[in-house]
Amino acid sequence: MNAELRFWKSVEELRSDAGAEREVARDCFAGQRAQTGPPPPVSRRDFLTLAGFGLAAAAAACSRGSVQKAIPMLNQPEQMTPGVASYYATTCGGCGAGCALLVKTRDGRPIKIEGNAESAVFGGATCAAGQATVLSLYDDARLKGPLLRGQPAAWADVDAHVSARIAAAAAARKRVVLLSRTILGPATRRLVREWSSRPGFEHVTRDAVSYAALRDATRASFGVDAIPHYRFGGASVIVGIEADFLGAWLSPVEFTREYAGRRRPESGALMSRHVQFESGLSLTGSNADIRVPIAPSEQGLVALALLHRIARRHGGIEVPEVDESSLDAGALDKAADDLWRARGASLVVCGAHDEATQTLVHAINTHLGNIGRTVDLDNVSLQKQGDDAAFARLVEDMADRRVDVLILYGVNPAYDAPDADRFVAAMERVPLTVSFADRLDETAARADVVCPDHHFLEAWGDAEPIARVCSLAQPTIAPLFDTRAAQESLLAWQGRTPDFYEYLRAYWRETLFPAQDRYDTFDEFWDRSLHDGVFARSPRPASEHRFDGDCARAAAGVVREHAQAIADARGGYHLHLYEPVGVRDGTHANNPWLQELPDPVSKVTWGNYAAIAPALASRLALADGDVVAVEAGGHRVELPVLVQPGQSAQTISIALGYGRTRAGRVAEGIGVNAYPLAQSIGGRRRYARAGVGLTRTGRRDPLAATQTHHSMEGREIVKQTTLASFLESPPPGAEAHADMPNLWAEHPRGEHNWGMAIDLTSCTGCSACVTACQAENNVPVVGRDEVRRGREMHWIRIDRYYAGSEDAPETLVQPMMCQHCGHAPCEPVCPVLATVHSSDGLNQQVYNRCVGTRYCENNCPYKVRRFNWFEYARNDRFDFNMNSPLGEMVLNPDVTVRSRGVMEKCSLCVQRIQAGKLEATREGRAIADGDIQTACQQVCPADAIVFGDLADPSSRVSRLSRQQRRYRVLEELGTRPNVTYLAKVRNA
Amino acid sequence: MRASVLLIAAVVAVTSAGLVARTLARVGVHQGYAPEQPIAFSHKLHAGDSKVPCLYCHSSARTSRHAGIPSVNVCMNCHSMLTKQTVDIERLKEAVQRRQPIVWTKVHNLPDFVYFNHSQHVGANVACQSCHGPVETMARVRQEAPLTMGWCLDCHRTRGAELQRSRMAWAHADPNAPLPVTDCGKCHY
Repeated sequence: MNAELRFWKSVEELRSDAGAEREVARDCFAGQRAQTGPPPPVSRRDFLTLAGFGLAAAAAACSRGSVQKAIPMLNQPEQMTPGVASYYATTCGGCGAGCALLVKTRDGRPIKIEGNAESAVFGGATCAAGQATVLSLYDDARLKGPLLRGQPAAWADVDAHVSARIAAAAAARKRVVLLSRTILGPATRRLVREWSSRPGFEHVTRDAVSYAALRDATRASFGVDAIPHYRFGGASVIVGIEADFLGAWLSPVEFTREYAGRRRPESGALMSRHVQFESGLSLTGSNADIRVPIAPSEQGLVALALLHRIARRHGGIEVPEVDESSLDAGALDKAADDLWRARGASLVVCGAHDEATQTLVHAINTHLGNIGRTVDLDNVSLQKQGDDAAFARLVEDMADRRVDVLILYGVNPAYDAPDADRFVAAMERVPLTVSFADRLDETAARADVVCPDHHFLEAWGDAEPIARVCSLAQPTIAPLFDTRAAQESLLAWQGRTPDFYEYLRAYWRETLFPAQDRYDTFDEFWDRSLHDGVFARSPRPASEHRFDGDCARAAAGVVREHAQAIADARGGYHLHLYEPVGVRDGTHANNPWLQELPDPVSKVTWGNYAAIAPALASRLALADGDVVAVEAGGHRVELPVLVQPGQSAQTISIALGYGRTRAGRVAEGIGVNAYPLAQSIGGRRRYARAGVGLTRTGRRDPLAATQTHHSMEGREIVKQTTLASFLESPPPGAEAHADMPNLWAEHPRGEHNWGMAIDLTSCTGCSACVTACQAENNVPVVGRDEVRRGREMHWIRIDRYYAGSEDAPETLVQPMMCQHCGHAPCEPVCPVLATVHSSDGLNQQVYNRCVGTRYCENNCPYKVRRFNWFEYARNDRFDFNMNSPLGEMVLNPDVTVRSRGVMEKCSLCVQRIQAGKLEATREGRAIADGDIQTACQQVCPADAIVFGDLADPSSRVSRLSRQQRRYRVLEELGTRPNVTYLAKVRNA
Repeated sequence: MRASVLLIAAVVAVTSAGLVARTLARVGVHQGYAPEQPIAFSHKLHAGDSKVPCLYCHSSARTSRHAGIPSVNVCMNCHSMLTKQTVDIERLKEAVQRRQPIVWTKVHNLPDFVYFNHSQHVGANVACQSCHGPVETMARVRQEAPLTMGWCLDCHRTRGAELQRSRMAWAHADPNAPLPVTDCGKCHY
């Protein structure tokens, strides 16, 4: 494996000679690097004097510890025991996908989010953003109560004010508009329908990132007013055109789960092939078997060229010829061949914000016979229903003073509309604006009345993300602040009882209860649905869908646009805006876990950047961190450059979702807002444009990247092969180093031997595990400056390697955490025995013994140990929502909050191992395989991580560890890790 | 003369060093700690004289890491029917009427870096008194054991090992395998 490829982690590393590689920053020197400036004034002698005095003073003062109080409940509910976790099924409100969740609460506080395994669609997994939503619950930037003209007010006064104004508007036959994001809940949808069906009342839907083109194209092509439900599990050939479906597009958890299910090399020909055409290197593109960089203006051309080839093979379809000179014809031919061979079991998805392109993609899927198979038009996705045209009309009407009352529900157009200034100006012409925002965001700050909605973990609700797949949402905690569900506000202003719980029950009683025959009474049905969290009706069978789209017109449109883009781009660059995996559309900008989550591909934290191709960077003499000005359509933003291998040659990629000004303290000053760079064509938003200017400013703003801190100095740590060569001659596994002599005595083996297997073919690098681990293990957030110094604290990281050329590299990812070595290099160097081996194969870190020599960190070949340079808890310098009395509520009480000066690292979730052992003992049985799941394993939508007992030969982890693809990282060092990796197999 | 001065100096030095070491070793050890409580609840009266089982009030010790201090509704299970009136019972009833939970002072405190689970020990039939001393004789609860790691390990190495062996025999594990009873990660994580 890896015979001819040279792996590299950054462009500097690829280009540098061996000597320069020594310069690559390593974590073990992070401390020294940071110690610049004059030496401290305290001499060694002074230090010893002070230390001696301090010790004596401590001894004198500590004879009695601080008095601790214990406050039992006044009246303890029967189902609640202090110290025992309860789980509640609910529905995620983190993005528009609406995944089913299971929320762990301890002593009445939600502390961890898991996927709900009862859900057939979403499974027991979540994404990074879903994991982090629990921290947003305890965000101090949330509003503590309603505001009337900027002043705190009582709900009764707010209601009186708003109701009177709405009644006056209705009486005067003026318009009352509710502007909301896509409403996933069928009960809320009905409530909003009732609200807006009265004369003068109107409802407009708008999503921060638009999917309107796809929806409009589906309506025009098939007469179905929705987004199709894509079934990646049924696709053996997938072609993606600028659709980051594993990262942030539409429903990433579901898509990752289905996609990874088809990435099993052992299944041979059943393993899917994935071709991606895209401009920036996305998470999805980094997983593709074949990735072809294109300019954003070429998306339509790619669709047209593919359609052309499919039509030729199909016969009998007229598709106009097109000039393909700018495209890679070979890759297109191959992709079309693969698609055609797998017709009926292939899938083309496209993230273009252009109706013509989406129409062509629908035509391709139709001619491939995918409709009804991988493209479901009978059980459609109800996830993104935003209507750009309606929103554009609304802004016009507002500017013309035709709107009297505007209610904003889950939207923030003053931040994320491409022409936000126009919206803000129009908003001032609306006599009454009411916002349901949870914080005083960019739009709510300009509203007359703010009626903060609950966090979704405090609220009742339901969701129907896919037609006929319903889930319920229930409160997991009483509202922390004086907030009210938006639905209840709407009910109150209609003069109805503001009780959404009863409304929800009534909806389920009337609509869903009759749709099942398992339960005789509604209460039984309700209790069961609430317990399970999900209620799915059997899907509608596939029906005939005729393609009615106008391909000729779409083709002409695509060609015209491309010509226009080429004309525009003369002397400029293309711009590509995308939704990042962490903060997504900007909703999570004040969530420090997501700000500190390294981008899955670039590994940059805390802020966005302008990604440019290495060749362009050389030509313009730009390097990582050089600040450039990007100008488009009269807007100018300044942000640092990232040299991104695989980036399309003339394209600048910038992430949306940053540059929030009013999200809260964490988000302040982080990144720049790229939404104004988007354009609005005919009211429809486009996240790409041509003719963009790029100029150097001369400033530098070093990126806070975790990328070069962990260089493994060119050793073969990730192995990959192709499917063809894997099937022909399966590679030898770990035998290469199995019989290496060892100087150390074997550790005595106890009853268990905990270990892990990680499949690099399944792993997409989505980084959900990083956030899950952070939530489970109380991993602190250190902030941008500390990340720049290489002091991030994540216990699990996703290493990313490039192979091949820098214009079109292959990307490999590898989750890396403590390998729990059988002969751990960290153990013998610890002078105080703070890191020792346990009887069940774990490498234990004992915080209370650790004195912080960091010898272990220096001696760890995997560089997975993390040092607490500061007291991160209860420290104003590191106030990242976890450290206030409010934020502390998110901490896992079963895991120590580490203090300054101690080392820490992955414990394989030893608290879960102990809890699993305890439960088995209490129930008088042996631990079954799968009883204990680590946090990273549980969250993984790709099922890439398996934890278990290596002492049990029949356990899943043991079976995987015997697989032919197995290897252990750096096993030539004789460390004997308990973590096995399965080599990456690419179906190229 | 000189020798005796040196001798005295040496004795003083050794004694004071010993005293310092002794003091340092006792930092954080609160054996004998018996704080005053907001209600002078007597375990002697309840657990001793009236023979109320420990787990009647501390029911979560069976299922949770915390033994738990009973919530006021548990107290009222009996006290709503008992006619005896004292100042302390008045305070209890006042808490119910004012809907104010009682703020007790915790007697047995472990450092944050130790995980201790009551249910694990109760499930292994360790008597409450093994760690808490003869509570049924205490009018005011005091910390009987030192609650130091060495003290925990004394029992883990003997009682714990015995229990573990019997459990492993029952689970058909290798009887000669090392026992996890003294693994650091058993309590420290």
